[in-house]
Amino acid sequence: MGYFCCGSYADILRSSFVFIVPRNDKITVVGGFAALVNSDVANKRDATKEARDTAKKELDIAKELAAAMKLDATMKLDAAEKKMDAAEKKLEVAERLVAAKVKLDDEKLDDVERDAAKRELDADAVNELDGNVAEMATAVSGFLGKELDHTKYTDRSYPLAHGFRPARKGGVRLERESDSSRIIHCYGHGGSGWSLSFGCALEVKSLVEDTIDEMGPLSTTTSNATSASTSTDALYPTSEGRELEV
Amino acid sequence: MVSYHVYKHMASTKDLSEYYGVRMRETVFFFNEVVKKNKDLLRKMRDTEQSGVAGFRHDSSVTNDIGFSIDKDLWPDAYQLLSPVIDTDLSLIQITSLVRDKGAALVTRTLDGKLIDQELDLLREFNADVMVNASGLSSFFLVGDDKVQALEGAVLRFRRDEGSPFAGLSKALIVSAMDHHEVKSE
Repeated sequence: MGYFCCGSYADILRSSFVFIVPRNDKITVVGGFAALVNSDVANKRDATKEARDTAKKELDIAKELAAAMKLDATMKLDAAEKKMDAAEKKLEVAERLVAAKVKLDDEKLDDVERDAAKRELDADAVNELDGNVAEMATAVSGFLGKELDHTKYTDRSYPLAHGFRPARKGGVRLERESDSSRIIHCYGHGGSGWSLSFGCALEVKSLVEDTIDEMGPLSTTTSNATSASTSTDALYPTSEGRELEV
Repeated sequence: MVSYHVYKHMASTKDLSEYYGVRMRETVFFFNEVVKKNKDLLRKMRDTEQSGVAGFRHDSSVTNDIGFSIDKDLWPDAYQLLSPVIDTDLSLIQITSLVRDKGAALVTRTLDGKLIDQELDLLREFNADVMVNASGLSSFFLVGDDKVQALEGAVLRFRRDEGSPFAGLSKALIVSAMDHHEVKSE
């Protein structure tokens, strides 16, 4: 999509629900961070069952919420019902996926399932008339204090940009796999990839340097370990450990 | 804040700014209550103010000069600061060519199964001492990390020509989701 506004804080933008940013002389981008979607459809090959369970759980939660909120004001009830609708929609999608799965013979299950998930994703492809987009436009209208027809004045060649943020519950994972591993993980930046980029890169750099300091280059450690090629033992340093440093 | 300062530096250097598509833009954060009367909002504002951001301003004139009028009853308070705005299409192209120019060979291929089971094989294949897993959503499979999940997002792209509701807009406008818990990401 080619655009990013970097907040002073990673979480300022992430927790924002409306942003209106002039991109250049011709285009202003308007957005909001919509609800969590069914990541299963996008990601999981074997997710149909889990998706259904999650959706059911969410539906239950939404129902409870709706029940609790009924006692409250009518406006709050509306919100809960919207959540319930979303959860029901998710459940429906998940059930359709499960139904599709049942029809397939076991051998081709893997491939066909992937296709089914893709089709499902295509069928749900977001356009300007999508409920979440309309909701986003309503939020912007609320901010502007006037009606906003979000299908008007858009960039005709590219009215809506849509995508998935690579998020992780609990935030970024930036660490070494384990003391005996040479893998450095750096993922889960969600909507803050550009905000966190240079800081994370510096941290990765020091983790890489620490790992090499500690374990030495791989070539020197593997020469003694031909008999243990499937074991991670081969990854242990054969020379002095880190405690010998200053 | 590391990135903030890097982008700020890039934006202030003409060549870098054009090359990577980075510029600073005034960004206004709106609030539906008076920041100084809310403990949490005030703390967040002070944190922001002291974090080293450029162009921080919190006074009644902030909402002026944004290109159109904002209902001050609805949004009684606002502060502004300078945020980097990045043309990520352009940046990614330049960063990729920078990596290539430094001599990196880019290999595209799919890995199945857990990364840790293939660690030694991959390191040997590429004659590497260390590997960095920056696979994003795919870490769900490669690491088996079920905390990884996709968050859906979308932006509408409006023209800024005459008649458009966003004609004349000069600043970026942000409303925090203080009482909109359902849209908060985790």
